[in-house]
Amino acid sequence: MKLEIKNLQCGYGEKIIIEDFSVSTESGEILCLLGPNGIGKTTLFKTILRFLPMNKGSVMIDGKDVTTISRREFAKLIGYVPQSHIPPFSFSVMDVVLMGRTAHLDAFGSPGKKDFTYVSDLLERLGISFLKNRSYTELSGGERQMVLIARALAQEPAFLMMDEPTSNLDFGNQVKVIQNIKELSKGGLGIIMTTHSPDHVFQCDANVVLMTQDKKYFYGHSSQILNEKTLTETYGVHIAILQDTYDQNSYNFCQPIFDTKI
Amino acid sequence: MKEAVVQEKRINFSNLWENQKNTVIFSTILFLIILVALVSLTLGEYSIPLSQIKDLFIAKITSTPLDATEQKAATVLFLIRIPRIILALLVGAALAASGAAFQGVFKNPMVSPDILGVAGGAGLGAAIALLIGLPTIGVHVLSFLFGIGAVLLVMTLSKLVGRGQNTILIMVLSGVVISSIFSALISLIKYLADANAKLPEITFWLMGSFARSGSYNNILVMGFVLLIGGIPLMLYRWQLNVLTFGDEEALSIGIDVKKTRAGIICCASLLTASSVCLCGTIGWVGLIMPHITRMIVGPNYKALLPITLLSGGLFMLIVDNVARLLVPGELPIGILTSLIGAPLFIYMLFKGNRNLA
Repeated sequence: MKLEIKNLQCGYGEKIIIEDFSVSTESGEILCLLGPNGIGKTTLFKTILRFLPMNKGSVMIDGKDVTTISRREFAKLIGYVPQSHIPPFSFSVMDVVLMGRTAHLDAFGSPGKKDFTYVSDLLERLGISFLKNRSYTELSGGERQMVLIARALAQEPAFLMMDEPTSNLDFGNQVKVIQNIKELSKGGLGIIMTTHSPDHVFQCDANVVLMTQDKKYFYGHSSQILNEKTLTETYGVHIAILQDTYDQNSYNFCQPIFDTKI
Repeated sequence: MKEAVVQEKRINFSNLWENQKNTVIFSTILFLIILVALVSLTLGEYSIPLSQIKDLFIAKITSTPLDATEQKAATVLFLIRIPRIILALLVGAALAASGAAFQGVFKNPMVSPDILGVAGGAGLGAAIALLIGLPTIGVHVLSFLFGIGAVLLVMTLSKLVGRGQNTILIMVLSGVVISSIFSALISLIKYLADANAKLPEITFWLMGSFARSGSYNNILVMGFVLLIGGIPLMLYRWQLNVLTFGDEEALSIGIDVKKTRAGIICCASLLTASSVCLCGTIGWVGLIMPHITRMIVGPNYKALLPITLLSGGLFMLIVDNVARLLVPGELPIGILTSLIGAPLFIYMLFKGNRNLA
């Protein structure tokens, strides 16, 4: 499936934050949104997810305008993985993931045996079925992130939108989440994620939208877009791209250069 | 492959166990309600032993003529005690379900019909209706409108004060402010009311009591309200779970948040407003019964809502018995629920160290 964003303009009321924004992504691809704080990544995200109205432009999935479909149908196309927060009630992990089944239930229905089986298999596949009966509010940040991914996957969406999936995670958990994201995309899921780390974009071998000042953006494959010039311009600090090999695999990574004046 | 089959069996088994556990809790509370209701029939200033109650029922069914003492017992039983017991059950269920629904829809375990100002608003609406002498249906409608107006005021106020960050405490404080305005206005109504005819009526009713409201007519009204307010809540109880995760997540999961929330707020307000109309403001039930039930069955509304309905009814019935028996003449039940509810709530605050801000 193909998700196309065409000439999108979004913001809060009069205040325009994103203008004339066009990108597209497909099933099996990863698209990263990269840019400094306050540049509008979250606004863009919320607009694509229809939490905020679009001023101009359109978001199409396989040629169909998403504003014309119901929330229920939309939930079966795009799953949302928010930054994890602690909800007021201590639902079990099973219940939280079952909530992802809502769009597949009857209007007034509750999850049945089929949904339980589906979710159990899903948790097994993600390697977190040991969390099943734990209370969601008592999990660690990394575990909660995995449960939210599971909940979004339970919607059986074609695309997954992840808002800084690695924020607040320790280094090991960041690597695990990136590993999972890569596997999900290999399994055919289209993934759009925001991140603060250009290294994650390299690690995912992803397409990237690098949002810079004045509503400008660079868009393309990470190997073409992320370089010393664009990153330095975007973040206002000197960043070099280094390359090294390990076990005959070549890796790119970012290195801030500290003692030079820009 | 073999492992997968084993896995499936285990899942179904654990799922079954969860259902069975809730069924056991549900049945236990139902059994307790029947038991307490039977005991309640015998209790009171005019005590009627269980054996006589049986005889009176048989006489009623077979239309056997009764002597004078039997007639007196029959009057107490059929015209006072039975309707009062049923009404206490219905009102307790309505208030508790209303509280549970508000807590879910505002993703806030600290709110209740009283804290959100619904009870205060409904009380003001009903007091105005009583003052100007509206008919029963008018009292209910005005009370409902004022109740829902109160929630909307609290929602708006906490939105304005919180500037988008709708924290749990801001909503509680907004509720306190709005409630206090309503209680001032109720005092004003009392001040304006005719001291001989209207004032005692309004005052006594505001304190909360089943003493004069237990009639078959009121049971019909409350039963009807419980159906039209309670059935939609039962149908939306899975959606209520999802709403506790916040608007954006609920939207992304596929719920029409605005419509669902509006529907749930209407139903919950209706349940509280009609309870207030019939029995005055009986506080705390809508806050503590959902809490206690959540401690037993967990936060999933699938089990929480039906079991809260029962536990709310049971609690109200027990407290009403105490109100009837504690002193000659009887206490207004609102006084008792506050005396029981407030310390219980403090205990729960200590136990559940939630991140409130």
